[in-house]
Amino acid sequence: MSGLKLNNVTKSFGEVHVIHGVDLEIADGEFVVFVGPSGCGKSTLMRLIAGLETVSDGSIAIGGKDVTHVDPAKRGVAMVFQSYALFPHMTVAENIGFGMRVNKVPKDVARQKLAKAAQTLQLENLLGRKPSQLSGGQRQRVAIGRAIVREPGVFLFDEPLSNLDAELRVQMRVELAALHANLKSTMIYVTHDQVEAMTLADKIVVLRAGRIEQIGSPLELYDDPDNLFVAGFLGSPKMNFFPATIGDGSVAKLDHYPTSIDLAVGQPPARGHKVIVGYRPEHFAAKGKAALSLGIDAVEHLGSTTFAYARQAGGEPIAIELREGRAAKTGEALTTYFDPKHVRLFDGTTGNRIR
Amino acid sequence: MKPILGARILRNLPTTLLYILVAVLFVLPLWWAAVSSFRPNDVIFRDLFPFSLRALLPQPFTLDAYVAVFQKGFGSIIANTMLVAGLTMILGLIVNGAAGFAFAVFDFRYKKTILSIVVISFMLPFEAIAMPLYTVVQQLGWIDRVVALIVPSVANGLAIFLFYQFFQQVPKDYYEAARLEGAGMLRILWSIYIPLSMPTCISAGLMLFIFQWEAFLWPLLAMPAQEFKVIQVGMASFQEQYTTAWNELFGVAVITALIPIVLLLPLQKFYVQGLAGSGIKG
Repeated sequence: MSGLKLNNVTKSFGEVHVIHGVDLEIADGEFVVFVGPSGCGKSTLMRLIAGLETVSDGSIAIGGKDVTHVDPAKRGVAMVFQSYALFPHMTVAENIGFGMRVNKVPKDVARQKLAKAAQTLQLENLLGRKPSQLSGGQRQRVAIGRAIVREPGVFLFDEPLSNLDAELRVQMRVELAALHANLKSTMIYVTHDQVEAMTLADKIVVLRAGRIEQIGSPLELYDDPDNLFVAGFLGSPKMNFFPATIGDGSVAKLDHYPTSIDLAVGQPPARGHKVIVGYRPEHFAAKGKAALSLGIDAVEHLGSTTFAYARQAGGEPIAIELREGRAAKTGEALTTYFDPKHVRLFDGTTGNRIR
Repeated sequence: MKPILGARILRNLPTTLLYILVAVLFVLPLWWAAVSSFRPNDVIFRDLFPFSLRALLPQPFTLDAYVAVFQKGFGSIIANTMLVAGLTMILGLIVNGAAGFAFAVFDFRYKKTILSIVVISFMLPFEAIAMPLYTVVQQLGWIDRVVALIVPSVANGLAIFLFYQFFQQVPKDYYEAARLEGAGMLRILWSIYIPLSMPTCISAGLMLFIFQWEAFLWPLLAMPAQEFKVIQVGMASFQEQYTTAWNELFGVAVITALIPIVLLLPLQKFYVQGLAGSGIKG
């Protein structure tokens, strides 16, 4: 088991700068999720940690040892690939044992490790099969098995669930969480799926365009985002954003609705300042001071809850969670209320949070 | 249904007859040669001018030609050729496989240019490089030595290209996964790429084998003393200046043709698969 420290890690492919000076510290045994839209550099960052790419600048330390220029095999990391990368001509047992054969692990030790991994991952009955004879979930488990037997300090998962169907994904997510609880190893997990990030992570690292936007626990990021990007990335449906202007006496007046919201921020911006009011769908209340009246464009009944959608003049659609909304219908008028304590205020130009 | 079937046969009759005629035209000379190898030398041409169907039947049947051929040392010629072709095949698989792997997996300067040169090299007719190659081999002092037959044929542009094309289709993830497990380049090539590319190995191996099997000009040039004969050169030596034992010559030709066929037939499936470039199942 080992922690990890990235110091000003930079990566360029020729003229293209992919990672811009990333600083990150991961504690021993932590489950960290790198999340961000495609092309944000999260996979590249993981490959830099694995040693499959060389850093252009900066340093990487694993377990207190600088591994910036160390061979991938000697970094004490194991990686589970998105494609699983199981060798098609080898059986499950041979796939899991490949690394041990390469590294000349004594046969009886290798057998023990294989048996233990197979037991942990319920692969005992599949050891003689070839990857082509396995289902997606089984292949995934074999790939994890290959990582486990290496007993790495750090596990790296590169979008491991993206090739599975929805149901299996939920199941594997639970299994991965259990695996982490069981092994207590440091795990780094790359995904673009914010639900995976929220459910699995001890710590989420939100990346955009090769930069870290925010680091924190899932709920910290959800409740207290640093900027518009993080606020909009986590949560489904995502946070609503209303363009607004600061009025007299720390009041935000929505640009497209005749609504004024009293602000509960420490240092409200000056009058006339353009801001964005961020508000999560589930925080709309049945009564209050700041009313929002709109016409419902679409309704989604999820059974336990209902989401009403309305189009905002010149902006993104608004989602409102209606807990008592089974009767809501498209075309109806709806009045709902803001609760100032749930308002997240962002600067209109920089997108940074105003606290 | 019957009349319709009959009509179809009738309609297809002219084309069918044409096909049979063309097939006979192609097969007949080979058949005649093969049959003649089982007949005494003096009767081979007797039934040909004027032509009689007896020329196409192995009568009177005799194995004299084959006995004579092996008495004249054709067995050792076959063994020589097997040795040369076999060694070329083994060394060629190693060298060309490794080269194809390098082109497919590594990034290095001028890779595309070098690869183009390799590809072009197999398009050059051998006659074009025979003289420069002779000079090189002579400088090395390899004239009349077996090594002169093997070494120049080991590296083969087409075989490299075959391997390169196949290895390129192998997902890079396999390579990276193996790297992370601590496997070195040769280990990755041997344990992962080669087993996945069996059809390509078989194609390339057969190709190298057949190139050597068919080689005539180079063995003639490189082995002027003719103490170590390979099969094509050996076959030619059965045709002497004044007399030709035609039945022996045909016997030699039959054996020469038969050996690659016997090798090729069971592996044909892989040969075609390899040349057509097969996909990889994940």
